[in-house]
Amino acid sequence: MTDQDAPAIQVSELRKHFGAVRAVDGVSFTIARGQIFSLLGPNGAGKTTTISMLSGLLTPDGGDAVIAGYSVRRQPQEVKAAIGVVPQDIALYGDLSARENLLFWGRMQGLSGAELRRRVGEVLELVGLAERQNERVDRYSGGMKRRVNLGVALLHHPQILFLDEPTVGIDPQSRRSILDGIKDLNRQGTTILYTTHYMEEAQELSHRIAIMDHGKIIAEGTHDELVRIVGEQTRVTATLADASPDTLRRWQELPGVTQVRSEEDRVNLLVTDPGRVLPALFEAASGTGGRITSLSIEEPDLEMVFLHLTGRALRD
Amino acid sequence: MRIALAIAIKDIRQWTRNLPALMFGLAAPLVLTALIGLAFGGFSGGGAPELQPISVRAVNLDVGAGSPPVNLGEQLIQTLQEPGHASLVEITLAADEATARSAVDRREADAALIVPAGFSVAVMSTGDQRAEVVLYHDPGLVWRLPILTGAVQGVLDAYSGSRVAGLVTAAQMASRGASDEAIASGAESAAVQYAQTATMPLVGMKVESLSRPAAEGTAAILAEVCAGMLITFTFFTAATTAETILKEDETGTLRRLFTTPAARTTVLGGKLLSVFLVTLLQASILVIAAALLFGVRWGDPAGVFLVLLGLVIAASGMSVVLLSFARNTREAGYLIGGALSILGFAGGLFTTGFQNIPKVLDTVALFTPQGWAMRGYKLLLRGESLPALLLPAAICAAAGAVLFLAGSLVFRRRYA
Repeated sequence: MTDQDAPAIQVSELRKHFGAVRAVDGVSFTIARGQIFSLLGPNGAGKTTTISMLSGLLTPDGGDAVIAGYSVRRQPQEVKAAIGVVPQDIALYGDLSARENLLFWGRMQGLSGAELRRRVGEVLELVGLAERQNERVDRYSGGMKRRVNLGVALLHHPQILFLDEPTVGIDPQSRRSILDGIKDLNRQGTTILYTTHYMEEAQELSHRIAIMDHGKIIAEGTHDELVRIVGEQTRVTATLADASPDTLRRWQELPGVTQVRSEEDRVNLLVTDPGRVLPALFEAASGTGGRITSLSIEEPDLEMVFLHLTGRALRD
Repeated sequence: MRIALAIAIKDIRQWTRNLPALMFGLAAPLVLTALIGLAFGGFSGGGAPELQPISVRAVNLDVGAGSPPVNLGEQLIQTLQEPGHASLVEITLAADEATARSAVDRREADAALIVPAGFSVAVMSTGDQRAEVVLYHDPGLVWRLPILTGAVQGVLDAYSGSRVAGLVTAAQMASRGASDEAIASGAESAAVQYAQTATMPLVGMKVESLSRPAAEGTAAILAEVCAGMLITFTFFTAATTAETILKEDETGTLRRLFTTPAARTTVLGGKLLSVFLVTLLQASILVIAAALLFGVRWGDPAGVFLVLLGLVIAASGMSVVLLSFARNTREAGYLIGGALSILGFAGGLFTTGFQNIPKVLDTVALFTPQGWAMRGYKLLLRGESLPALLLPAAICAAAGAVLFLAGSLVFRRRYA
């Protein structure tokens, strides 16, 4: 295997405990060069802890990861030089301008002189803030701050980029801008490790996705591979009025219904044959004094995969 | 070193843009010095500090004695109203003893001077009758009481002399076989003549002051006050700069710094370097501003630099060790305010310029870096040579270095 064929990131049995809590519990995955790989999971799944270990912020309790050919345990400085990290929170100096921030962070990455100034100029163009580069960052909108936050990680042309929930709390326009920017970077050859709890983002961006829950990877593959886990099932979401426990019990017993889960007046079901099951759902509801007030049928997606694997919704 | 310097330069830039920090670190000590200066009666251009005169309600119940009659009670009060005493004692006449005492009780006057009936007769008497006036005072007079008693006693001493003159005259006349009437008359005449010289004592003292003007003495006190402010606010600025380590931890920039190829020790080194440089910059500006605004003559530039360096190292070390005890900026705020106020007082920073400070406080000051810094500045302001300044500067630097090391180790362990 040549260097070019070697994976960008190879994670083996990575572990991290905080007291009795197993934040990351034997996580392994491989990311080929030039891929976008997403870690998808609810809050507290262990995504940020995994990225923190890969970026040298936390020392693993067990396992190792090789990034750009360097071990995070034995060669953390070399790993840090090869990666760019976009943290979940906006980690910038609000009382400095975007340009001053980029100049400072560029120096931290070892850039200097004309090269530093050139890269700062390029990154300002890339994140669309060249015209407002001299304004203090704390006067920017949330989306603009996110863009500078991303820009900081790109200054040194990293081979590999870690993005930890970079779109949390921003407007749709800024989110779109960031997602398009990530795709552009990937097209230019940057390998990307992306964590999110937004299924749509993982689906749109990723070549491969690992679903995490309780510190473990519970499924991994391409979007299509993951969706096939739930087989030929369809998700049906029904809103019930006057529902009783009997309604849900009757639905669970219907042939073709594989899972029933209720949230207040909404019920999520996985069904194998919607054409046959839907009339039976109405019949069972009315037979137990309930009334279906709305119904939606969705093609299988990652949310359904998570529901299928854990019995919980991704946003829980 | 390049990385550490970049962090320090970034912190200095942030400090210069932080208006509250600038107000606190630069404007506040200068304004406080100016206000204290006004309280002391002005700076080098102003006069000597003005003492508030002691307010006295005086009542004279004496009707005088002798021929021609002399009222020594009236003479006593008039003497205290003369220009020599007027700046110290402000006499207001009261109708009677009760009114005079009541003015003191109601805190309308600091003291009441009561000259009893028969005072002149008692002074001129050849018997063993004691002549005395009553001084009723507010206990709050404290150190100003001796000024008042001194002024009154000065006149009474002259009256004592007149009584002695009367007694001597009486004794001499008796030895020559003079009649009792002649003796009494002679003694009274001698006493009256002597008493009339009470306002122009024949024996006194000539008071000579150091040749420098009074204002210069005031300026020396103010220079020490200015040094106290400089030291106080230098310690505070060092602490608030060190606090940015915790602030960066809370805002996530410290974590981000740790994801760069820069080693953690380099990053922390940069933060500690910025504490030192920001403090040095602030203290230097204050020293220059004090010289320009208040005319403080700090002395030999080499000595100024030496003492300043000791102060900055001590303040930096103290701030790092203080902040190492805090888990977040909220705790840091309490720690900085509490610890630096106590140490500042213990170090004598807030009592400089005051007189009669208990000696024990001087001893306590020796256990604080602030106290040694203050000692260095006092020596500097008194024009001491470089070797004399070495000890306080070296102790400040050594204490600062030890504290700096201890605090750095805690921070390194926390962020390792």
